[in-house]
Parts: sequence; structure tokens; C-alpha cells
Amino acid sequence: MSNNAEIQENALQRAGIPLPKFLKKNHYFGFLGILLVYLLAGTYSEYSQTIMNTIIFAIIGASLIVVFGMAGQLTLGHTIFVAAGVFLSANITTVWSRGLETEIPIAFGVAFLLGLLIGFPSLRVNELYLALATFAVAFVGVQVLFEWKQFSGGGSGKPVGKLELFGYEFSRGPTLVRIALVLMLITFWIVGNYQDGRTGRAWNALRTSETAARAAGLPVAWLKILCFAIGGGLAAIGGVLYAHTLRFAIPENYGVSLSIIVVLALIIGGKHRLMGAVLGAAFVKWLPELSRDVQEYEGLIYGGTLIILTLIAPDGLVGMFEWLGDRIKNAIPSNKDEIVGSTSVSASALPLESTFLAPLSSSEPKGNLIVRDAAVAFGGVKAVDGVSFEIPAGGVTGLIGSNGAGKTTLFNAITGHVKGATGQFILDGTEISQKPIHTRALAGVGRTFQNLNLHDDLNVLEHALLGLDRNIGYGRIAESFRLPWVLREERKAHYLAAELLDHMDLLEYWDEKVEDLPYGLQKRVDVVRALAANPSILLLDEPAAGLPTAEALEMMKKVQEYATHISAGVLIIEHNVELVADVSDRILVLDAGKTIADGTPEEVTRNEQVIAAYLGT
Amino acid sequence: MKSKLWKLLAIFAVLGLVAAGCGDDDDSSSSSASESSSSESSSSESSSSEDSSSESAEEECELARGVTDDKILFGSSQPMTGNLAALGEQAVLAMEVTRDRINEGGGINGRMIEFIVQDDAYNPEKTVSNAQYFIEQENVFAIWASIGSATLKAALPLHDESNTPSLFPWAQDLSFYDVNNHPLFFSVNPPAYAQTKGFGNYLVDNFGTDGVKVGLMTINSVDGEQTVQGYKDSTGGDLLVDEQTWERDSTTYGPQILSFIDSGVTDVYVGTGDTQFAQFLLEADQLGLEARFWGSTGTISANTIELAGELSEGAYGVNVISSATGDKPGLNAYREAMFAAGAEEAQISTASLLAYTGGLVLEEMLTLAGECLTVESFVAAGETIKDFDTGGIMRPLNFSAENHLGNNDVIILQVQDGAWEELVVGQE
Amino acid sequence: MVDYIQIAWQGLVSGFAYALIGLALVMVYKTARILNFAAGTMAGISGFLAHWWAAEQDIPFGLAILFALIMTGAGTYVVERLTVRPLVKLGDFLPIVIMTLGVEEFLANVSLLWWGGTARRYRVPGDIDRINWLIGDFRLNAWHLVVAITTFVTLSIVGYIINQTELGLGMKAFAEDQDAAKLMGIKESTVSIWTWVLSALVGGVTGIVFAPVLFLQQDYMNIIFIKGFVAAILGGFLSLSGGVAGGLLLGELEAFTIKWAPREFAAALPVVIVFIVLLIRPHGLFTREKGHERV
Repeated sequence: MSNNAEIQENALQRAGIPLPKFLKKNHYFGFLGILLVYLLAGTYSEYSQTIMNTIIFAIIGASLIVVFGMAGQLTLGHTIFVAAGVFLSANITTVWSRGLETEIPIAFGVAFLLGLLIGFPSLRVNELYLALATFAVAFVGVQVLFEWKQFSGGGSGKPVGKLELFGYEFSRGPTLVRIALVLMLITFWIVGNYQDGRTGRAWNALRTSETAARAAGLPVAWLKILCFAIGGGLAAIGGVLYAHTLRFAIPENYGVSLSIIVVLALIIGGKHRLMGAVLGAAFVKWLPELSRDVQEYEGLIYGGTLIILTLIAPDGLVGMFEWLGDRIKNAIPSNKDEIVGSTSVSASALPLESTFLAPLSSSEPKGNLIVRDAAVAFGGVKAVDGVSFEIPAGGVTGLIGSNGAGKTTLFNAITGHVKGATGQFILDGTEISQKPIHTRALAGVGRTFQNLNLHDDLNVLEHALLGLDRNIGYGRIAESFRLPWVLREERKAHYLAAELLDHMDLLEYWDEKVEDLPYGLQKRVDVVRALAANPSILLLDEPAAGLPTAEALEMMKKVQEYATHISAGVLIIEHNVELVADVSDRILVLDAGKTIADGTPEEVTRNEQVIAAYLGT
Repeated sequence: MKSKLWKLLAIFAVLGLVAAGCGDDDDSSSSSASESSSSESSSSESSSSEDSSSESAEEECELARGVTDDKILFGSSQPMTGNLAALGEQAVLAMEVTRDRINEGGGINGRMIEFIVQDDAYNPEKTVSNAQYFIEQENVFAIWASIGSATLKAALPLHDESNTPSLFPWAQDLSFYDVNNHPLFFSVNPPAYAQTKGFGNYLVDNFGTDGVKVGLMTINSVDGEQTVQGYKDSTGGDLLVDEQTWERDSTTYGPQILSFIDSGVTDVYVGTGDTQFAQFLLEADQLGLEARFWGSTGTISANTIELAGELSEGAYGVNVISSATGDKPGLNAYREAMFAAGAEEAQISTASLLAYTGGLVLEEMLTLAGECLTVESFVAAGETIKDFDTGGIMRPLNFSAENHLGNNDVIILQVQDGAWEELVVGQE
Repeated sequence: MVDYIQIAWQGLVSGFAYALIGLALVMVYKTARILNFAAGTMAGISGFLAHWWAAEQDIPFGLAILFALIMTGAGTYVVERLTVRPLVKLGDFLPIVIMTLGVEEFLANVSLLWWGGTARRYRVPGDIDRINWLIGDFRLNAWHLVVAITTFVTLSIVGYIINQTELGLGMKAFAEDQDAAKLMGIKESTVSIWTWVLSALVGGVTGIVFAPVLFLQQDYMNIIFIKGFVAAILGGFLSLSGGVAGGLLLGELEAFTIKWAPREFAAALPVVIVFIVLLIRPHGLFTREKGHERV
């Protein structure tokens, strides 16, 4: 075991990839920051209300990062979770006479379940419409609170009881601030663990390209519901603190305007970083505090600042600071060596005894795909009209045809990316017809896309890690607390991803954001993402399009090598017939949705029908 | 290895901090202990100075927070923005009038009155934050003239814990008046409960019960339920046939009015503000609801008549204070001062009159408390006030150790010839 | 029976407000993909301006409205040039939404400083807003008729502009495909600015015509804005007529649910129904789903 660990660590170090750790630099800075406020809480006790509000809204902001920043679900109903926390707290402290040790777990639990419920609309509606759906939830939620008089005290509200922990009572003021800081530390740590873990990657993937996320086998529907549940639970913790600050819970406070403020704060601060949650909360709470002397003009100041901020810091305050930081870093001459990927991890070091990928030497060829009577119709047009063929396992098959012949649509029918496809699809003996995209992906279907569908904001390494997701062996609870085996699995995954990148000559770009890469490299990243999932059959959609022939050939060679290594079959759509003929064992030709040829490259290129329809003289 | 060292350091730091944090608890509790001992000593001193009242106090007098030899500082949290902004403006104007009157008369015992206003936009979170600002940063003596039950309810614990009087708000929640729970609360504004009870009784007394059907429209908030309960507990309680609520963000009361028409009500109690009441009258006319309309305290202003025009004629009002446009010495003085300070017609209203009247009592309390102004002497002074004359704005006010609500009057008014006229003062 | 007609008419009148604001919102969204959070406050300021010209500057009623609308349009022109234009290049719609929130706060404060918190009555010639006609058992308020006519006229004018003018063509082109429209030589900045101005004028008309109904007070158009937003989404944010239809539908929904639903659910029911509609038709009632996603 430790032998493997050492190999992995050394390899990653040589590649210049930081090892997954329990705590990173950011953690230390964050901890120091919180420490500072903790120590100063007594000195600035007259600001304790504003400080408390900032901490609470930072916690709510962090919970919103889960839903909105990572998973990209625009929610205007987030404060329903805060309200849940507030009223649960009020009831638990007065009716049950219990303290924080009861309030926090129950608030989290109830809000979690509530979030599972509230997450459902996100499966049906997107973006702006989701905003309205969640708005509706918040609105109705407040009405329910009003009417549920036993729980909420109706319009009159309910008082909140004492602040205590396991029977030990605390006074409010600086002590409450300190307790809040500890809770903030914990919630931030948990959210940070998701950001650094597979669930965070999965959420980011579904935000940037849901299509590709499904194709990578990620359970998109469950991930969406989960983000509401987890985000909701964390927001409820903020609610518990809010209850103790306000000491009185009134339903009318938790309506839509509060939801808007919470989203606004996060966008202002920067919705992808925890620091953004802090900055956003600070902005929203301290601007009024600092402008008390000129309160008459607070709207002008607040509104004006918002306008200016959006003009100069569209990525939020965090983005602005990062930009400044980058400028400073670039200005300072650095003696960091160019990351050289070519030396360190060579293809020959592929661990044939890897515990991760299936033992390769003895593996059976995979990728036997049987298609029977596949048909797809768009309105009256039959894009795919009764196509049947069989691809042997482990082989490379080409699929050619003129534009509009139905090649990509056939792909989409196989992967599940088009609705209304009929016919039978069987992969290595398993029937995958009518199954959802991610189920087919998990059954072994891998693909690339004509328009790439890469994930903006994620770097190259993360794309590879996405593909590996299904084999990463830790659950979401372990991930929240970054338990020891999480680190082990992350390190293993990083190592394997690095190997794959190295094989595809992408290792030196591991840290680049994909939107910054040239087109050719982007195409390779698309392939890497698909390969990392260890597919049984890899469907490549015009992998050479837009590339100069030499580069295309080089990439195809690598793909073939790796596919052989994992014994997968390959089905490739291409217009470059020479290329296809070069790499394929067999070629299928489509025309107007039907197959017109199916044989070896020599046979097909000499087929008269094919020449007439496609190849020309 | 290095990373393990960092982890250890971090753990030790956390433990150390938790210990330090617990340690600070003792500090804060000891400081509050010293606060209470100092207030004890000042109250014993004030009682001894009362014994030797005519002689100048030889003992030191520890003045209350917010009080210096030449100044008394108050804080006031008002809705200065949002849809209740009008009320905040009116209250502040009345407070300015009070302050100027007192200061131009030389102040009280040589001390000038000053107050700071902070906006809370009717949001309890801000009211609480403002309270902390007033008490801990600005060190005010008392919080004066707050608006709203929901907002005050949130801030009251903070006021009480920091020994800060809460004075003469426009807030009507029953819990405020319990002197045992809130010994520093003083008001001249009876609870919403009492108002509808008085209305219910008046209705039966003057219109009987034959064929009388009553509808209530109240807001779904802190006072709303108490308002309904007050009516149900009156002699007319059984006449209630239709209960409706309204939201702060309603744009129309059409549906409620149509329901009242269906129920055949003869009398409708409208628990809203003046703008909403005017709109209600308009829409009732449009939809053909024929009934007697009874507006709550907030509806009784000159602006109601201005906005509703002729439709306001004959409308009734249930107030806790005389009509601001009435003709009585106290009211005339109030209006004179308000106009001199630049008030518009529309700002002659319950909100400003209530704050003004509270200001009259405040002035009396401060004067009676004497040179050595402490929270104790102030509260004690207030409790001695009997038969306080407000020039007719309210019936003579009476306070005591068990009762910090000087006025329990319900006044019934009606719009006659374009002005609010009193029908009955002191309806029970 | 007449009772239902009465309720339906009441709902329709509210619906006109929602429909007009919904139209204003959809107009800007379709062309520029921006949700204008300042629309409510802007509409309110138009109302205040009309009153200011008439009551304080002694300008005749109709002329005062004209001046108010001109000022609204001019103000919007300036705001768009200064704030929206620079952000549009970024492509991400979120900052722009925040920016409109900032404009809203700013304008609300200006309005408060200028006019204060007190509600004012917007007087109309002959006080016809206080005249109610009796038609059998049906009661018709004269001003409501004016509202209906105004709505109809406004919709017709907007419809004409969209369908019969070059500007309208440009707006439609941009709504379909921004890049293609630009490639066709349609100047984006021109289309954008006039879309905003038109939207602001529609909002302004709404603010003015509803001023006698709601009284001129701080934030008086805010709730209309929120309901207009809901209505626009109900109709599907990408269809102008959908936005209008959504508004009318929402007005009717509100009127009838409060009549029949038990008191506890009355406020929530319209929203719940909108929510359910969205679940069934995720892109709104009147928008066709945009083809298939190209993979």
C-alpha cells in the first residue's frame, strides 16, 4: 500500500501537481482571519450585532455557494432554509428547553430533508424559470409559516430562548460572536471540502455543461437535489445563529426580499470562492453601518457602489482582488521553472499492477455494440432511418457520410442524448436502449462532442478527474469531513489522471483553464475526459475536425494506443476519409439516415454507391 | 512531516482560543456585575439626595448613561425608507418640535435635549442593530418614539438588558405593558386589543345589535390577532360575521370588499394605515359596499381625507388620541409648532401627534426626576405622574408603579365636513 | 352571475398593470437578456414626475404627462449609456442584474429625497376616478375604463413598432440570435438603447395611469413590478404577447382565488398555481421550447 502511495506522490511531485492535502494554504489564511476576529470580538463588542450579522450572512453565503456558485442553480428561495433554522431554534429553546447541541443537528436535518423536496423543481426548470419556481417556494413558505401558528406563533412570532450548550448558558455579545465564528469555521471547512472533492467537481461540471456531465456518467438529477439539501442544511445553521441574534422570530422577515439580498451579497462578493461569501456579507452589512452619519443618502451610496462594482468587478470583489493579485505576481520576476511534463512520468511507467484500473493484460476486449433498427425522427424528417450494425469488441470502426447523413444523431441515439430514438442498443450483452444518459455512461459508453462541451472554469486535470469520478471510492459524508481515505482516493485519482494526461501530451497544461487553451488542445481534453472513465466503447465525434492532419494523426495514434491498453472499442465519426481508413478495422457509411456500406476500408472506398454519394471521383 | 506540524499547531491554537474564550466570559460577567453595583450605588445615593432635597447634594450623583451636565441624548429607530417612510418622517418632525420647545425654554435642569435617528426600514434586524448602535456606540439615555410592534419586540430585550428606557413608541403589543417584564417601558398608546374592544362596545351602545353585522380587516402581523381578539371580547363579539386579512404588499382590497358584500356586513373595521384606508374607501365605493367604515388609529389623519376626498365623509375612526386637526388648546399648540417647523398638512397625523404627546410626558418625567438624573429616578418620577394635563389631546394621564401606560382611552371620531370630529372620548 | 363578471373585471384591471410591466420586462429581456430590476421604481418616478409638473408647476394634465414621459425616456437613455452599455460586452447577465438593483436603490433614494414619504393624490380632470357607473348590477369605475383604453392603445403602439418598423425588426432579430443580427449589420447599440427607452416608456405610462388608483407614495409600483415579473415568467419570458397574457391571467387568478379559496391559502394560491404551471411547462405557457440542443 505505502509503496503505491510513494510512487503516486513522487510522480505527482515531479509533474508539479500539488498533492491533495487535508488543509491547504487557504485554510490557514482563513483560520488566521477567523482567529483575528475571535480575539477582537471583545474589544469591538459594540459592533457585535453587525459582526454577528456579517458572520451569519457569510455562512448563508457559503451555503449558497453550494447551490448557486458550484451547482449553478439560481435560487430565490434560499431563505426558506434560514427561516426553518430560525423557527426550529425558537421552538427548541423555548418548548424543549434545549440548547445548541440540539438546535444545530435538528435544524440541519430538517432543512436537509426540506432541500431534497425543494430540489425537485430544479429537475424540470432551468435558470430564470428556476428563479421563479424557487421564488414561489419562498413566498408560499412564508405563508405556511404565518398559518402554522403552533410552530411560528403566527403573525406575532415566537421568542427565542436562552443561548446554551449542553446546559451551560452563555451570555450574548462577544461570546455569541465567538460561537458563531466556530460554526462559520466548520461550515466553511465543509463547503471547502466539497470544492476540493469529487462532489464539488461534479457540481461544477453540471453547472458548466450538463450534457457533458451526464455523458461522463454523473448522476445529474441526484446532484441537483443534493445541492439544495446540503446548501439548505448549512443555511439553517445560519438560521439558528440568526435566531439568537434577533431573539425573536417573526415570519414576515423571511420573504423574498431577504432571498434577493442573500443572492446579491454572494454575487457581489464572488460566487465561486468562500472569500466571496465573506466579502459579500461584509459589503451588505457594513455599508449601512459605516454610513450611519449620512443615512439620508444611503440608497445613493449603496446603489452607486453596486453600479460601480458591477462595472469594475464583474466577477465580484474576489475576482477584483484576484486580478490585482495576478498583476502583482506577474510583475514580480519569478524563478519558478517551466513545468515540464515530458520528463517525469512516461507512458512506460503505466502501472500494470494498478489497483485502480482493471488489470489490463488479462482483460477481455470490450465494446461489442449491437444496434438494431435505430431510428430518430425530428418532426417529419427521418434523421436516422432503420440503421442496424454490429461492432466487434476491441475494434476501431469508422462512421462516415456526408453532412446531414445522420452520423451525430446516430451517436446521440446510442448515448441517449436525443429523445425519441427507437431501436435496440446492446453493449457487451447489456441492453441500454431507453436508459438515461448517465446509466449508459456507467454501462460503458463514452463519447466526445462535436462542439466539445468542455467545462469553463475547470482546468485540464479536473476534466480528467471528472471522467474518473465513478471509480473514486469515497462517499459524500466522508467528503464533508475529508476523512483519511478521501485523501488516499484523491491522490490515487490525481495520479491516474496525471498519467492519462501525460500519455496524451497534456500534462504540462494540467493547470490551465480549458477556455484558455488552443483548439487542438481542447479537443484532446475532450478525449481525455472520455477516456478517463474507462469506457467499453469510445464514440469519437469528428476528433480531427479543425486540426491540421499531422496533429490529428498524432492524436488518433495516442487514442488508439490507450484504447488498446484498456481494451475498449472505438467508433469514430470523421470526414477525413484517409484518416479513418488509416485507423479503422471497418467502416460504416451512412447516407440520408441509412447504411449504404459496411466493410473493410478497402471494400468501402471502392464501393460505387459510396463513391457516388460521398467520395466523389 | 511539515504538514503534520502545522496541524498540531492549529489544534493547540484552537484549544488555547477556546480556553481564552471561556475566560472572557468571566470578564464580561464581572463587568456586568460591576455595572449593577454601580447602579445600586447611584440609586442609594439618589434616595439619600431626595431626603435632603432642598440642599445641594453633597454626595456624588452618578448620572445615567447618556446624561451629562448639559445634555441628555436619546436614540430613535424609525422607518425612514420603505413604504412606512411617511410615518418615520412625521414622528421625527414631532420629536424635533419637542426638542426645540424644551431647549428654547432653557432645557431641563440646565440640560439640553438631543436625539439621533437611524433608519430601520421597518426591519427588526435593523432595529436591533440600531439599538446596539445607540446604546453601545452613542451611549444614549433612552430609546424614544419607535414605530411598530414587530420592530420594538425584537429590540426590547436589548433595551432591558442594558438598562435603557423604551419610551412612548407607537407600538401596541400586549406584552409590552407588563411592568414586571418590562419595567423601563412607558407609553401613552393603549394596546390594539383595547382599541377594538372599545369599538365593539361603542357599536353596540349606539347602533344596537339588531341586524348589525361586523367585518374586520386586519394585517397578518404581530398586532393583527390581538386586534381580532379584542373585538371578540367586546359586547359586540357575536356580531362578527367576516374576518379578512390584508398583506403589506396588496395592491387592491377588492377581494376582501367583495367578501364583505357577500356577508352582508353593516360595519367594517379597517385596521390599516391612512393611505390604505383611503384606497379601501375608494374601492368600496367602486364595488358598492354600503356600510359604516371604522378606521383604526393609523387611518386617522388629514391625509386620509385629502386622498379619499368626498368618500371619506361620514367615515368613523377609532383612535387612542384626539384628532390631530381638532380644536383644543393642546392640539392647537401642537399644530402651531408643527407648521412652524415646516410640516405639510399631510403630516398632521396620529404618528406625529402621538410622538408629540409622548414628548410632553417625557418632559414632565425628566423635570420631576430632578438634578440627579438616573434611570431609577427617571422611572420613579414617571410613576408619580397623576392627572397630567395634555391640553385635551388625551384625558388626564395617570401612571403608577404597576401601570406605565398613562392612557387607556379609546376615542371614537367621525369625518364631518371634511375634518375628523370627536364623538366620544374615553370609550371603554 | 354578475358577481363573477365584477370579479373578472377587477382582476382584469389589476391584470392590465401586471401585463404592461410584464411587457416592459420581457421587451428588455428578449433583446438584451437583461432582467431590469429598476423597472418598478422607474415607473413610480414617472408617476411622481407627472404629478410634479401638473400640481407644482401648473402644467395642464395632458402636457404634464408628456413632459414626464419625455424626462423618463431621456433619463433612461442616459442610464443605459452610462451603465448598461459597458457591461453588455461581458456576456454574463448576472452583473447587469446586480447593476439594475443598484440603479433601483439609487433611484429610490432620489425619489425619497425629492418627494418625501407622504402619499399624495394624483388628481385627474373632472375627478373622473371617483365616478362609478351602474350598468344593471355591474359597477364600472370611469378611470378603470381609462386604464383599459390606455393599455389597449399602448399595446397597439408597441405591437406596431415591433412588427412594422425597422427598430422592431432589429429587436426581433436580436431576440433570435444576437451574433447573427450583428453580422447582418444591425447596430446593437441602437437597438439596445431604443428597446430600453421603449420599455421605460411603457413602464412610465403604467406608473402614471395607476397613480390615481394606488396613490403616489414611495415604492408604489414595487409590488406591481414583482407581479409583473411573475406574470412575465408565467407567459414565458421570451414572448411579448406571452408576457401580456401572463399578466392578465395572473390578475384573474388572484381575483378568483381570493374569492373562493379559504382565507389561509388565498395569498399563496396564485403563486402555487404559477409554480405548478412551470412544472408542467418549464418554459412558460406561451413559449415554444427552442428546438433541440445541438450536441
